[in-house]
Amino acid sequence: MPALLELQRRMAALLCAEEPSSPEASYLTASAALRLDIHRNTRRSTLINALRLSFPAVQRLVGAEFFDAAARRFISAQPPPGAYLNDYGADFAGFLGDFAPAAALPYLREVAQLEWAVNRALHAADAPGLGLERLAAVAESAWPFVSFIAHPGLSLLRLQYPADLIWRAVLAQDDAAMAQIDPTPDELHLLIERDCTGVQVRRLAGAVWHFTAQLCAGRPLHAALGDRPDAQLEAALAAHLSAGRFIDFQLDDPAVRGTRAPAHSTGEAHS
Amino acid sequence: MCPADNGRGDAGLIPAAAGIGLRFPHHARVVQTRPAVAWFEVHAENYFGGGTVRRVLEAVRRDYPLSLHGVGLSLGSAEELEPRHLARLAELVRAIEPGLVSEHLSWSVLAGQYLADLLPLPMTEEALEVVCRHVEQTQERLQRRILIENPSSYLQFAHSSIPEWEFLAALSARTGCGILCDVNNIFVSCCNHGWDPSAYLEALPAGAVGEIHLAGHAQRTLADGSVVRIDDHGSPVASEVWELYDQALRRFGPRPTLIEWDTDIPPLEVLLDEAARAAAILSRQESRAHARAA
Amino acid sequence: MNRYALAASTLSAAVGLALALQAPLRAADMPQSGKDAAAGAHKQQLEKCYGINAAAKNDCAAGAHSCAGQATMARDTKSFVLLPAGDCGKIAGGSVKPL
Repeated sequence: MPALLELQRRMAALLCAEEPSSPEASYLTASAALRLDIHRNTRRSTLINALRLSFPAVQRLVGAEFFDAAARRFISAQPPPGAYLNDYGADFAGFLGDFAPAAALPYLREVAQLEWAVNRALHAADAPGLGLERLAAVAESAWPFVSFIAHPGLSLLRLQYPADLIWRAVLAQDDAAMAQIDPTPDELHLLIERDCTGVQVRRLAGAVWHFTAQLCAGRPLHAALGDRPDAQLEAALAAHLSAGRFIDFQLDDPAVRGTRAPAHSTGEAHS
Repeated sequence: MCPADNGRGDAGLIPAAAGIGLRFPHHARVVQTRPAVAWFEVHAENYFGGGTVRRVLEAVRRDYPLSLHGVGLSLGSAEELEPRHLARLAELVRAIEPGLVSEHLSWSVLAGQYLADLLPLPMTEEALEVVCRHVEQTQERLQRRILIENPSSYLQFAHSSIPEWEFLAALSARTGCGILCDVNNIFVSCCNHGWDPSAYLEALPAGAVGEIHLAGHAQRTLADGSVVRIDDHGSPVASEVWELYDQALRRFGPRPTLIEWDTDIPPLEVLLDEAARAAAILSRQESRAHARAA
Repeated sequence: MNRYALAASTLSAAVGLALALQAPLRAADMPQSGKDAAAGAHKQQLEKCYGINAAAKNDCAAGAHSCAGQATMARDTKSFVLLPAGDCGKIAGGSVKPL
């Protein structure tokens, strides 16, 4: 009689095995292997279905049979860590990029990356945009050291193929648009977000994308801007602020930080 | 940037009436036309995020009593509960203020891996202690009582030592949790294991039963020739299950009753018809109770 | 102008501009005009593609065993050559050949 933890380990191994016809386990009653297969089927179909719902354009590009086979391999390689299935599939794009049978479609990985960004935008937690009055209340001398926290649904993608055009045409089932797509590499900068009307996929100028990426990575404003005035970046910052793409800010002032006592000081500075 | 409106008038208590499990294909219809349904229940995990889906849930909560039914907490895992999952459930409960919160007597997470099904537990004292600990932890975190649903099962463990109904009764007695009595699950499990469904109902503590589930199931023949009933929620409630439901109401009294349908989801009208059938049996039970009282 | 002065002036200008930009954004919360309604329909279609208002990922795992019924086992994909066979064929230059 196995303890509960040991029994659950053995059952999990049987459920995740690639092939059915698992041997009869002595701790189960009659015809248990066949009955365990009911759970194997449920697990697999639930997870494949979750990936289908997250990657509809990829599925249409490769067809249902290919998609299911790829999804099965992915599920074996990277099973879901948690029960919130909207979080499952972050690495599917990377998996497809390395999946030899998909090598004939070099843009497939990037379409999957875009679809994952769309999913993040669709399902991200609600978070109100940073109130401008809070920024305005910061002392002007500290403004260069402002760094931002991006909305959880915001993604920035730098791609090599026109993944946005492919994605739109495939989801719209627009054969004419698909025929016009030129799938040759050319650098593409995308911003994906959710606004009040739904998910937006926008193309950005390269410089604006790089500036935005620096801000979203938490770099302070002076570091993200560089040395030369750029009206384009100023307008982009205004657009980000008004669209609520940042939900909070921090002050990263080395001068301010220098005056603070280190966390493990002897305590003299505090008392 | 997208203001949410949480305004709602009542406490949202779930009435002893027939409700419907709300699934995504019926979202738009329900929000736009507000059909006459006594209450709705949703799967909590589908609403952990924000955006359109959360706006729909808020709108439904404004117009109807709402119950949250969790599917991923894995109360039966020998390991600890996943803190992030519990935190997300707590956030949703705080935001939605549902009339009922329920989960399953099953496990589905092990070693940081979600197994994407409600898996059966051996009915042992060890498993009972594990589930009790996790139910207490959940009730503590949510600051409220939860209901635990009896499973549908296909296989049994050779070393199970406690009948399922006794396991549920003990769980409720030790933790104060309620019982979500899934009548279809009782029927399915009893057929699969040769148990007596009437005896199962008789053994449950009536006062602890806070909700009843009804759904359809399928029947399949396995490769070894044995017949198994599978709880696939993909057809109307079976006639034997309606009869068992009538028995359940006689035993427990009127209880909030939910129609669930998850595979090949039909038009809302089909679910409304099933709910009307449950409502008729509920009102018959109520008149029986009145007649006895008179 | 050094980089710190530049950053300060940029933020100042951006906040001013953002305040001006927010007026029309508020109008977006108002009832939709005909054009906006069309855009809304497009968004709904997109959301449907991702299961919103169509299906939900956790529904399948949600108490209903074996969404595919007691599904026939999917084909063993090791035994045949796996080839993309969907809309990829409609994309110019995207014809698929076995490697």
